[in-house]
Amino acid sequence: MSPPAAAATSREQLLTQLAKTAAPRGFRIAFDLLRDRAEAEDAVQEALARACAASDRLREVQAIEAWFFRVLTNVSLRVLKRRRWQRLFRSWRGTADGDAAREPTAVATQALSPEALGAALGVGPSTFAVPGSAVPGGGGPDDALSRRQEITHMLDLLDTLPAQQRVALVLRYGHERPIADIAAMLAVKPATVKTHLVRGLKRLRRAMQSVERTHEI
Amino acid sequence: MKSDCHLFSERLVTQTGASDPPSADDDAALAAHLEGCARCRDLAALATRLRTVSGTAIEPGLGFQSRMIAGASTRMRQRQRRRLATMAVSFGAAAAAALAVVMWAPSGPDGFGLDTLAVSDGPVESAPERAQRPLAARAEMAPAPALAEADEGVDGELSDGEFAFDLDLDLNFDFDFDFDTELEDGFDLSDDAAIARALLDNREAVLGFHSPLPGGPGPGDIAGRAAGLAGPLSLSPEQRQRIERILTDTHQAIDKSHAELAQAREALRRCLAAENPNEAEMVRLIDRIATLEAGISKRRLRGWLEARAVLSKPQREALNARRGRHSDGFAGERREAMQRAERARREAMRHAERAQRDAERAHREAERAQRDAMRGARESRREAMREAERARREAFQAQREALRAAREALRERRRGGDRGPGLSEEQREQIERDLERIERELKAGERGEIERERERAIDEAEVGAAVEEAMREARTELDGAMREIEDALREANIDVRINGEPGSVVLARALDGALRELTTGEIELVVGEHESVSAAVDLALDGALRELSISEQELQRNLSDGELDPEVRGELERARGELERARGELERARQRHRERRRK
Repeated sequence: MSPPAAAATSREQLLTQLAKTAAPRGFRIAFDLLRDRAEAEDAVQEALARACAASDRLREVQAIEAWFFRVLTNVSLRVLKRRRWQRLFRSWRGTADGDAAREPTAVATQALSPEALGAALGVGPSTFAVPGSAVPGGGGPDDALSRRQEITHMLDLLDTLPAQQRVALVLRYGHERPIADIAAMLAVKPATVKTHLVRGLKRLRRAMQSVERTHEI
Repeated sequence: MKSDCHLFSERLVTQTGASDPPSADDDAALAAHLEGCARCRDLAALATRLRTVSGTAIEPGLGFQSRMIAGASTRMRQRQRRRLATMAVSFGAAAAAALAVVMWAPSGPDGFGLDTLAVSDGPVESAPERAQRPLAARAEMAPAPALAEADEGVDGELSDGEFAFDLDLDLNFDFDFDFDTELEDGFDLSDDAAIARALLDNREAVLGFHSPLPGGPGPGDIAGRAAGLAGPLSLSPEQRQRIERILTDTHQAIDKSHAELAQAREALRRCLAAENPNEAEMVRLIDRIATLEAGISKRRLRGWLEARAVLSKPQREALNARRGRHSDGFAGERREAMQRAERARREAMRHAERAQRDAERAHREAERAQRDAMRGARESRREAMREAERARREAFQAQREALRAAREALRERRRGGDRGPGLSEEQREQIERDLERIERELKAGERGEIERERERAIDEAEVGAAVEEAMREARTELDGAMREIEDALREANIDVRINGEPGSVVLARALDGALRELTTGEIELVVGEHESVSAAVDLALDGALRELSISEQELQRNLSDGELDPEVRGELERARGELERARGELERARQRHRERRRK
């Protein structure tokens, strides 16, 4: 078999193996970051393609999985950044058109504040303090609805974070990945990841407090 | 010292399961701090919420793995194609840029930019000016040692009072000189005076620098332009003097050898022309000539090496670079140009031949397609013609039946004593004869002429025209038959009434219907609709049966007459039997047709 053909075969095998072992996990991460099934699948496909294309350049084939997750994170980051720009552009257009209410995030955040939801659903604000434990005997339809609303609210707040902070938070707390792994996936130092995490948490907390204050007023 | 908030943040960030609040066993101080610090509590709650949010992530759906593999494979192929395309574009752009650089040449005030690359200490003079200067003026401008050489050594062409020559010379000093011949440019390579004169005349061409031809390198002359991009040799006056001396010494030595060589050759010629040649002497002279030639080559080589040693290293490198490009001189350039032109011509010829072959192939394919189409059309037309024939035969049959019925009715009337108003026996017989004649003609027309036409049409494969002709004739005959029947019936004034209508009208309608069906069949034939043709046949058969029924009814009406002569009645009964037999045959024919149509 000629070297290019052998390489192609090897890439195909690698792709199959990656799709079997790493792609499902990658999809969960991508979906958690992007919250869109189609975009998550796109990101996984792109990451698979890039990782396999770069397999020839890797010194160790075992590192292909780590490389795949790194590429996946990069692709997701790019999508998040693109979305941010699109939001800014839409916001600018909405302002230019005198229609600021077109901003979906603002609307969603306002409508889904925990206080407003709590008041509307007849539950206290503590419902949203620690999900699953705040509502005694939870499990009814109201509880499910409120939990869903809270998740949407949390996602809206995550949307306000810079892409790298969001990725770091999701990977660390959502998927319990070690700092070193996150650093490898983001191609930064572990200390930078910690900084992203701390700043992200602070920013998230401030955003939440700001929304709550707005509703109190 | 770090605060408790700071420590809690660190723990929240670094430890596994960090979003769980610290227990008292874990760290009592932090747990106590968490109880009292709302900020840290918020942070812990946020971490928990994030875990909850991630817990809501959906799982990959069915067929996820296959989708991923297929999508990634497609993307890999696309990336490879994109990369190849990018490389091709980059390569093309680089090639275009390189070509542009090579093609570019700064143009001087006289349009010959390379002419400024003259020897540094000499007067700057363009090639056309030099070429147009008279030989005498050029000789005067040459230094004295070279002047003497130029008078005897330079070989050129005289035209319109001006001396113009193509200098095809370099200092290559190859060892395959042909001492007896000159190059095609009219310059003697063995003439070292030319070297000296050209050097002293600031002829850069001697050193292979640029074309001395009028006009310089043309727009497409990449080699010439590339050659002009390098700097000049820039001989110093001292170098020029030394080279001049070397060349003079070399020339003198070689000239002496040439004189001896000429004497030896002359002696050899004399020996050859002698009555009794002295072989030993001839061998000696040949050896002498060979020795002199070798000596001349060696002397020329030594002169070249000495002249080369005068040059500095950069000058030698520049000279070598030029020799590498112009090692064959300007004749070589012309040869290369001619070879390029020849290659281009051959390439163009190949292209033209390929295009011609393609055109011929396309032509053959078009012809084949046309033949296939014609064959298909012919087949379909032939089939249609067969159907038309069948329909026509059926129509003739129906017509015959109708005719027979009319004749039978006529006979019946005669037997019944109903002669009709104003119709004599002769007239009646005449009518019968006419009817028989019509029938005969119809039979003849059916079996004879039209059959022959059909065979001819099939044989000659002029199916379309034959079908049209046959149809036209059939129609004409049918028209004629219908008219004759109508005329006969009108003349006979036979009052045959069928369902309250005159028999002639019914017969005419039946014939008209058959004709119409024939026409319809023809139209259908054109488009190859066999179904309609079959329907036409059905209609024709139906018409014939209808006519038969009418005849039967008429017969039955006559038979019901109580005063009928027994002999006549017997004949009528026989006629009815005949009619029934005809009906049976028609029914069977229709059955056969239906079965055929169903198949």
